[in-house]
Amino acid sequence: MNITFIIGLVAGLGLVFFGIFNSGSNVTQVAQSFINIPSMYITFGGAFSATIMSIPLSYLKEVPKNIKVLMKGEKIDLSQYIDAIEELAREARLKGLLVLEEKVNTIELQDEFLKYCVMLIVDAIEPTKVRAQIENEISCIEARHASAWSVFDTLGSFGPAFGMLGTLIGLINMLANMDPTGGADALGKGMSIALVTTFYGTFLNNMICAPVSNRLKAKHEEEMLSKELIMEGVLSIQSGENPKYIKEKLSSYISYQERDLLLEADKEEKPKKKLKKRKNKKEK
Amino acid sequence: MVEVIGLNGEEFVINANLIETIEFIPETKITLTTGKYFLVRDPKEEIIDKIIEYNQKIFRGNNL
Repeated sequence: MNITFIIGLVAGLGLVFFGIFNSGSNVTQVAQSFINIPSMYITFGGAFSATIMSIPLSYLKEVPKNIKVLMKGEKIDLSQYIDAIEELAREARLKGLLVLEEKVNTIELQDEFLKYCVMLIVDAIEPTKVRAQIENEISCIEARHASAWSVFDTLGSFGPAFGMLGTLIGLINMLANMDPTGGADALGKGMSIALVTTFYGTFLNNMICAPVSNRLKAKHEEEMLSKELIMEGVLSIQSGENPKYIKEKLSSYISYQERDLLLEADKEEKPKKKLKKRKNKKEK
Repeated sequence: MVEVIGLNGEEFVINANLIETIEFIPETKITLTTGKYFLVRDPKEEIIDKIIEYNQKIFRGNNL
C-alpha cells in the first residue's frame, strides 16, 4: 500500500473539513453554506463531462488500473536489476551471448523489458540498431504512460473552470432576483452560495487531481529510470564489457547508500567463492 | 576488405584498414577506429589470416 498517499489524503481532507467547521459559527450553518446540491451538479458534473469530451474512452478505461498502480506502495529496487544484469554479463563472458536466451528465463528476476532487450542482442542485431530499438520502445512506453495522468490533469484543469462558471451562474441569478428591501443581507447570502462552486472546483483540483497526477508522474519517472538502466546494462553486455565494470557503471543510477549495500553484499559473497575455488584446487 | 559472418549469419565485408582491435568476449568483437563494433562468428586466426591474405594481394598487385 502507498501509505504516504493515504496519509496525505486523509490528513488533507480532515484538516480542510476541520478548518471549515472551525471557521463557521455552528455546524448547521456550515452545512448549509458548504453543501449545495445544484453547485455540485455544475462543478463536478460539468468537469466530469468536459473531461469525457476531451479524453478518449480508452484512457478512461485505464483509470481503475492506474489507481491500482498508484496504490501499490513498493518502490522499484534498482539494485536487483543491477545484480541480474551482472549475472547475465558474467554468463555472456563465459559461454557467449547466445546462452542468454535461456539464462534470462531462469534468473531470479523476471522482467519483460529485460527479456525483450536481451532477446534483441541474442538475435545479434547491430549495437546501434539495438540502442535505437530500445530507445524507441522506451519513448513509446512513455507516451502510453502519459495517458494515465492526462485524465487527472484534464479533470483538474476543468475543476476550477467550472467552479468559476458556477459562480457566474450564482451571481447572475442573485442579481436578477435580488430583493432591494433585503439590502446587504440578500447580497451576502447570494454571494456565499455563488462562491461555493469555486470552492468545489478548487478542492477537486488541488486535493484530488493534482496529487494523483503528480504521483503517477513520479511512478513513471521511477520506472523509466529502471528501463534506462536495463538499456545501458544490456548494451554493455553486448559490447562485452567486464561484469564488474558494468556493475560499477550501473551503480551510478542508485544512491551512495544503496551502492554501499550492493557492494557490501558483493564482498560477503566473494570470499566464499574464493574458498570454494581453493578447495577445488586442493582436491585436484 | 575482409569478408566476415555476423552473429546472425549475415555475411558482410569490413574494411581491414580500419580495424583497431579484435576482442574475444567470447564472441569475436571487431572494433573499428570509428568506434563502431561488429560481433562476428569467425574465429580470430581466420580473420587474421584473411587480413594477411588481403594485404598480400594488394602488395603483389597480381590483379593488374
